[in-house]
Amino acid sequence: MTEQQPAEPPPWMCANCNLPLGLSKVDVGYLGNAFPVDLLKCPNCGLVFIPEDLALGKMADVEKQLEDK
Amino acid sequence: MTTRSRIYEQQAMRDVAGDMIRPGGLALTDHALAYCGLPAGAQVLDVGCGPGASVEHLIAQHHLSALGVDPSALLLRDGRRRTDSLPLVQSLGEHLPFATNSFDAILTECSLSVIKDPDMALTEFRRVLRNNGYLVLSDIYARNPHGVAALRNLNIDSCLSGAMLQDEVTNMVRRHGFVVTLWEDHTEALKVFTARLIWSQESIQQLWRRTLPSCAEASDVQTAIAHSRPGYYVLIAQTAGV
Amino acid sequence: MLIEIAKGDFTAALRQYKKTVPFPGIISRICDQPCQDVCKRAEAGDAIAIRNLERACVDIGESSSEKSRPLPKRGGKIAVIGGGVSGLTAAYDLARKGYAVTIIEADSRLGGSLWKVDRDFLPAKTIEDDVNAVIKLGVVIRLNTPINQELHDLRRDFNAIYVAIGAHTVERFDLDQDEYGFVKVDAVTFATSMDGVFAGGGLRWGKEMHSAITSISEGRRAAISIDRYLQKVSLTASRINEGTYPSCLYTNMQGIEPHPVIDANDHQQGYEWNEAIQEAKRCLQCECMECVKACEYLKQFERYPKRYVREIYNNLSIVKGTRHANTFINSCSLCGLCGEICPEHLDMASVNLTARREMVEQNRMPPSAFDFALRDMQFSNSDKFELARNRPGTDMSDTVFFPGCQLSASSPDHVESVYAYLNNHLTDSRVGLMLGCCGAPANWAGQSALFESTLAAWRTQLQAMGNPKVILPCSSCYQVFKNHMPGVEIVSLWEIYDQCGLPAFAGTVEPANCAIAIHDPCTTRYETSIQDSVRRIVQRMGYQIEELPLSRERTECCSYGGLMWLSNRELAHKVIQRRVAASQADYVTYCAMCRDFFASHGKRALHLLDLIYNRDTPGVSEIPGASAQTTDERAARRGPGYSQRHENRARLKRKLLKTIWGEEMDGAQAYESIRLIIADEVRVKLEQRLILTEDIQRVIEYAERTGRRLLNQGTGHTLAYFKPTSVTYWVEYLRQADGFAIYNAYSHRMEVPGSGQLS
Repeated sequence: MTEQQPAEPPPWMCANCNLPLGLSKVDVGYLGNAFPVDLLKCPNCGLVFIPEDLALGKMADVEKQLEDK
Repeated sequence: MTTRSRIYEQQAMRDVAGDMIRPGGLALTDHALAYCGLPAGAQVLDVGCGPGASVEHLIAQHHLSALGVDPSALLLRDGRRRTDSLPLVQSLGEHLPFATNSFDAILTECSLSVIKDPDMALTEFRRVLRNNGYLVLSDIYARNPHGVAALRNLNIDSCLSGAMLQDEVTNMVRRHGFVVTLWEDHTEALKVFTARLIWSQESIQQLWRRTLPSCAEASDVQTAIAHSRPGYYVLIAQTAGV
Repeated sequence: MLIEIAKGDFTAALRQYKKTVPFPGIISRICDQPCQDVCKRAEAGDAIAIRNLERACVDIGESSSEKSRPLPKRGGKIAVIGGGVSGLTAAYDLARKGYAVTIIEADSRLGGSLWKVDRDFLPAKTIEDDVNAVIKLGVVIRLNTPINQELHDLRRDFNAIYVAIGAHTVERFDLDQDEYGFVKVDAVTFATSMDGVFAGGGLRWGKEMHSAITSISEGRRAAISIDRYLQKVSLTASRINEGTYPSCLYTNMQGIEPHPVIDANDHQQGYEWNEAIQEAKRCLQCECMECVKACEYLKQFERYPKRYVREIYNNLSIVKGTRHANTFINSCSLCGLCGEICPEHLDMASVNLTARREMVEQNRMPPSAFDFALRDMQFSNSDKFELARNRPGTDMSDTVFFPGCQLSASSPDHVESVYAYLNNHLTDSRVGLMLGCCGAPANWAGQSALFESTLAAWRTQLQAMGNPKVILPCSSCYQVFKNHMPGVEIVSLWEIYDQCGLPAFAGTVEPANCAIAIHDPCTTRYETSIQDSVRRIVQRMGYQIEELPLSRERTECCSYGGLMWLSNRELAHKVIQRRVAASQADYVTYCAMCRDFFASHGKRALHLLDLIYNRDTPGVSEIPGASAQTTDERAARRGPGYSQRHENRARLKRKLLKTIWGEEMDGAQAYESIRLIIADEVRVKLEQRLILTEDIQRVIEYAERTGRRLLNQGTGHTLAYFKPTSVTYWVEYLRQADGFAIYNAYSHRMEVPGSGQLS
């Protein structure tokens, strides 16, 4: 599964662990289906970063696709 | 545009690799094979095998004597690159380079709708199948009879533009001397497949842009396809014994 | 078929034609066109020359080579006595079904009385070609074979018999006859007195070629009977629409220009292609589109209501997958206008509402469809807003004011004014107050269980207050109480104003803008008495009423109905635009949502209470909750956003509790005290994304409490996410001395591991 990340990763870091985020494979799920994706994630506590364009773009498209036809 | 673009050779489609090679994936293949109950060693032909994932699966998991044909040298090369011993033959479904009565089953997964002359292909299927042989079709079909005309006018080589209605599919199969024993709707699998396809791209728009030559056409294609209400089916037929 | 001809596609037209009739060559030449008697075109010109058009298809269209293959063989031997058109039709249909059919003909050739037709008119080749189609199906033909045995004996060799010997014989066999000497035949099934023997065609009428098309029709219907007879199923079930029957199709002939029939240049040869096209274009393509003309929703989905009903039915009956009609079902405002307009009262509202309930029942309702509205309802019926009190100093109520959720959200000040008015004017009545949502959104969303439990809660509440009469300003609440709580006495607030009189100050000032258009909420469609009351109130205040083209029982929905505004926002936008364009005048309505939706599209619109309570009138400022705005300001104001609506309800409850009952509210959640600083452009974005202030407060509360948040080293902003129920909200914010500045927020439903749960 390919995932295009912006050329410059956003400068977010985990506030709690004080660590930079690293790319990691995460399964996001919807209605019983898992969708693997590479997301920026805190290597210590697992907090993830979902960018706005992913939430409002592809995630919304997939939600709609699975909900309705 | 003089050459029709082939959706199934596009990188976007090939990207959705792994077990999701088509709606339902290998799980749907297993589901259909369970219905046929073929003995180990049975001779099975996969028409439109692409890079041969099903062929490999039939041999390794079902211990069948499987063989694949596909007209796309590109896709066959992908397959051989993965496993060089795969028995894959370049051929059109309309002209099978095999003797009469040589297979126990034919698998045609998501490919009848892209075959240019399905009637001719079915004549060939009937010819190379033994008596009481199985034809396993899984494919996209159109669920709206009023949306089919616009679909046929699309200038793309795709299962979506070749989608037929349920009656058209079953009647065509019957015309070629088969008895249809099973029709199952698996539209849910198509939905999940489409979701995965979207997921593999940045967005739906991106998906259409990558699979179609120009944006203007993409919007027509989307409208026509949506209107036809694509669904997915599994059909199992048997050659009528003489 | 005529559409294809009009397009010049004779081949497609021929294909259509062949699907409907067994012998295209013959019928297109000899049909006596009984359908012309009822052709609507005759009311504006002449009836369509259908036979000539059929012939043009046969002459010009290219016959496809595809043969009609018989289906697998079915057991059953059938004899058809008589090879005329009726017998041939029955033989053709039955052979195609896979039966072994034998035609027994007394003459030396098939065709019967067809051979008596003028040869120029019906050439021998045409007869032979069409008759050959029957022979090709494998039907056994016995020519020169008069029946010289009793049918009773013949029955031993055949499982069923169709007698179609025409009118030219006095042969009656051993079948019962009527008083005129004709064979007794059942008019629906064509069964005779003998089991397994059917009869039809000319023998029933005793007249040569009385109507070839009727003989063919009877052959076809007899074949259906024979098939059912052999399959041992009911002969009579669902056969109402066979043969001719009165159609309920309504065609509006208004504005249709008369055009006479196109004459063929050469009568012998029939239509030239261009003549046929001209004639086909005269066809009105009868389709009653009256409801589609009036309804933006039906228009948007582009098709004909009867087809929708079938699609919805299909959507529900297909067990696996397929939810194609969901958007269609969920987009309807359930307003009932189509049912009012339809000459046959086909009402999409009841069809769609049933479908929604079914979808919920089958767990197939898309989770996001109505979620936002249901959560809004949940808020209204939570401690935040829900309230039921008798008037201070009483322990029972004779009447109770139930303002509903949206008037309280949109104009909380009016709720206070009205409650004060009721206490002043209903002097012999103890007036209680009930705040909350009636349950309409749950009903609209198909959530029957939630709807029922909401109703049950209100019933219990009313019982505890001594079963008071409920005073309702909102017509959606009115319908819920009227239709679902039959034991509860209700009255519209507008009838009270009408009967008890307006407050003394109302209507004493000459209105600046005299003409005003009344928009009736769709939930008052059949509430004539409420509509009349409203008009009297508006007149009494000195306004001239302009009636909109669609008003009263034909009024349009504002898009709030059925939750269309939520399930199909694009369509809702069009619906509102269409409604506000109906008149230039300011609108006055008596539903808070109608007003706010119109105002959201730049229309000057007033709630009826805006007319009564405003700053224009002296003295109004002395009453509780008196509006700080003039009528003019009221008409132009935008309704509050979604967050503000929650806030307004909560504040209204707090204020009323304090001012009327002297109670303080307690038990605020920790997140509610979080102060947000939101710039206007961000606020607009949040509204569009359906993200409420309280959603943002919850994210911040969670993030600040647990420390689970991201930090942007460049901007110093914090980003955090939290999933209170089914939606994950992301908020980008910056902690400041006096609160939290909000820069962005977005949401998704896909689930991400570790997105915080409600503790």
